[in-house]
Amino acid sequence: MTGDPRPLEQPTLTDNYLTYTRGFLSWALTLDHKRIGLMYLCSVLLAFLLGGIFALLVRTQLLVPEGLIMDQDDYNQAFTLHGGIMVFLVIIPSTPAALGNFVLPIMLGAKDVAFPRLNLMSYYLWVIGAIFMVYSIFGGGLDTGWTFYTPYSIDQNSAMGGVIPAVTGAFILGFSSIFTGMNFIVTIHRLRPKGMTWFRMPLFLWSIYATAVIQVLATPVLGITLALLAVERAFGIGIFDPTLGGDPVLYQHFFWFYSHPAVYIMILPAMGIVSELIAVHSHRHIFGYSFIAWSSVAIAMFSFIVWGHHMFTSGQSPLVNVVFSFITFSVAIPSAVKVFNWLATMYKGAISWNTPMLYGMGFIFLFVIGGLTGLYLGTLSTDIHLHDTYFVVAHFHYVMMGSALIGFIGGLHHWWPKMIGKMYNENAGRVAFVLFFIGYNMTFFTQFMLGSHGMPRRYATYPADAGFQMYHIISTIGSYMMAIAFFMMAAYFISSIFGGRRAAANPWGGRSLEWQCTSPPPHDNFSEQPEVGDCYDFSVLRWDEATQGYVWREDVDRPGEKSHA
Amino acid sequence: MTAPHRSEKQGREGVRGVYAREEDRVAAGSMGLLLLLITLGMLFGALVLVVLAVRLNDAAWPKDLPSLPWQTWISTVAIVGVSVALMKAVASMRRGSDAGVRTGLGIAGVLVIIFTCMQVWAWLSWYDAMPQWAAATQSHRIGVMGFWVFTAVHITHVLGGMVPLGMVGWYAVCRSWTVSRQGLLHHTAIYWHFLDAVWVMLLLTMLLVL
Ligand SMILES: [Cu+2]
Repeated sequence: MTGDPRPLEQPTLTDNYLTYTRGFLSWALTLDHKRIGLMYLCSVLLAFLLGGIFALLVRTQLLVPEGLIMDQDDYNQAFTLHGGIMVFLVIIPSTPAALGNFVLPIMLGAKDVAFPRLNLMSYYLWVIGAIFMVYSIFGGGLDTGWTFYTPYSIDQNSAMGGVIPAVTGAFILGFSSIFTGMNFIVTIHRLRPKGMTWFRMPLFLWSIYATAVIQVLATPVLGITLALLAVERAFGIGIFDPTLGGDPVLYQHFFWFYSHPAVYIMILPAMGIVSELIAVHSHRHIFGYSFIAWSSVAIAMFSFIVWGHHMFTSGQSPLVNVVFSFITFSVAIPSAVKVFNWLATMYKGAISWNTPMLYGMGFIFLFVIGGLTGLYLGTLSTDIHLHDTYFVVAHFHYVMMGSALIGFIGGLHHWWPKMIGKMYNENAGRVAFVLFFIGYNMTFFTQFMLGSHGMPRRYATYPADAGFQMYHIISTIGSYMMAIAFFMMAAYFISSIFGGRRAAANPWGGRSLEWQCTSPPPHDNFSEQPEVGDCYDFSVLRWDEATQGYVWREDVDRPGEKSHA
Repeated sequence: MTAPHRSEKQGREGVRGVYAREEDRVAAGSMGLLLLLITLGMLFGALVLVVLAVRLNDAAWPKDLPSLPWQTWISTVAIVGVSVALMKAVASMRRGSDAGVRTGLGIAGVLVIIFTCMQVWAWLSWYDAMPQWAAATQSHRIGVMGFWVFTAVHITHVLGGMVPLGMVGWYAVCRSWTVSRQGLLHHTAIYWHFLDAVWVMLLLTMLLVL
């Protein structure tokens, strides 16, 4: 029988998407979503390296009260570029554009995304946006913070020449993100296979869908806001500049109307990954499927009506503050729904302590800390004290790095065997996780203390007698530990490409469709559209020692197959 | 199984195979277009809102600011005409009248050029008039700059819309229609209706607010 979706016992490496065609142009002009995903992955990781270097510079500076390596102006540029690169170039595209591009069509049993050419264009828009962003370093520097707040950003003296290139870069990156979102929405609507109803989709797809809705609705608002900022700075149009009749706080409203939802653009896909990791590596049916699915949609909808919580101290009316505070608290409900369902999935599951699972559990731990400390910031009275302190820095790093980025790294470990066809060294993976996890908490938990003791964010120096230095030293050592962990990851990932054991089609025991094609997948993903069953019913799989992977149990029928003889 | 020959592989590298039927591709395109228009709707909506917010917070708005250049009105007629002409082209396509499609597209093309030329002319006259309003609008800059911002953002989308219009025009000249090319004609018409509606919204904002 041709087109049997049964995992091949002996995956061949002769006809997979990596070796299907050769040569530079076959990659640069590819329309294959898997190759585009891989190109995104490499580019995003390069940007991550750059943003990480800026982070280490910032942490090193703060080792001593008077600042170790930079003057104030350079410090302002270092944290601005760290933030701008990490948000716009790394976290926003990381999961949707890199992993999502690779996994989403395969999970749907489709041959590609709905608009392959648009997909390639999104990638090149990312590249062009990245060039503009990085050019701002050389084109006069950028010291506004990643938020480009007016009036700093329109002050011709202080913000230097980097504002317009950086803002142009963010604008272009925004459209890259919009087109990716459009592509994914249409793909999910139009290319779902026979048998995959909305409520049979893997939860990763639900989260990508919710993310894409935000990308399409919110990102254009950022786009026009940044465009107006650039022309304000260049020509003086009187929208944000108070001397010309504009309103600088208006910028904050429009910026956060995008950038709060952008937080969910970053974290929702990670939550989707974690749903997959927890279920697959616990080998237990996901608990509360529809609650997790709907909570993604609920988070996406709430995300549009909470932006004012970034502006409690900006002079908003008290009534507006109260309303935003109240709505902000309600985001806790769908978030908690997810956490409880993940915990319930693990409960009595047969947990495999694989590296991806460690990241999945690390996510839950760090996300709970990040979420709960958000309550202090959403509360009006405490926010007045904590606003613009390291408490905020710690909170959003727990959410952005400890949750969103951890989810991405967990997903990378989960799908790496599928992408490359090789297994990385599992023990090295576990060691790197532990190093990362300890370093992470050393870096950022101390910042909660710093913040509540009054250390303001974005300062290049601090008083020697305020008791801040010990926390800063611990924090900086933690950041070095994370750096070592990331270099370890790079080492074992790269060495797996050359020397790793060949990956089975289904090394972890997943049920969604990507585990039914070979590792790495063939060019067309599937020779005919596979039929799907319950993608969280793991009882039909068994471990096969010979191939070091999971295979279908012989005594169970496959979906769409005639009754077992 | 032997690996397919290289040239055969290159041939398969394209987008074929994602959709089972051409109609499915057109349907996916319709949905993509809808999402694009939602995105652009948010973009223009935010633009109008931000200008409105500045204007409403300005208690001492100067009286008798310059009125819109007369060329703007010709532009308005032209872009409404584009919509009508494209409606005619789509209707002719449904009837199977090749000549009707060509006429509709031809008229639309001419009107798009008229629209663009009138915009350029309007900008030149606005630019000439700006110095005499400089003092009155020094601290109400959006009063004279709003015209630039609105028309500039709009015309970038007009320029973008010329690409699919040119493509369907080419298909009409060559008389080589396929299902997905007919779909493109339909989508192009919808996009231009959208640009038309946006233009009217921006025009009303400029008339009533600035
Ligand atoms: Cu927020």
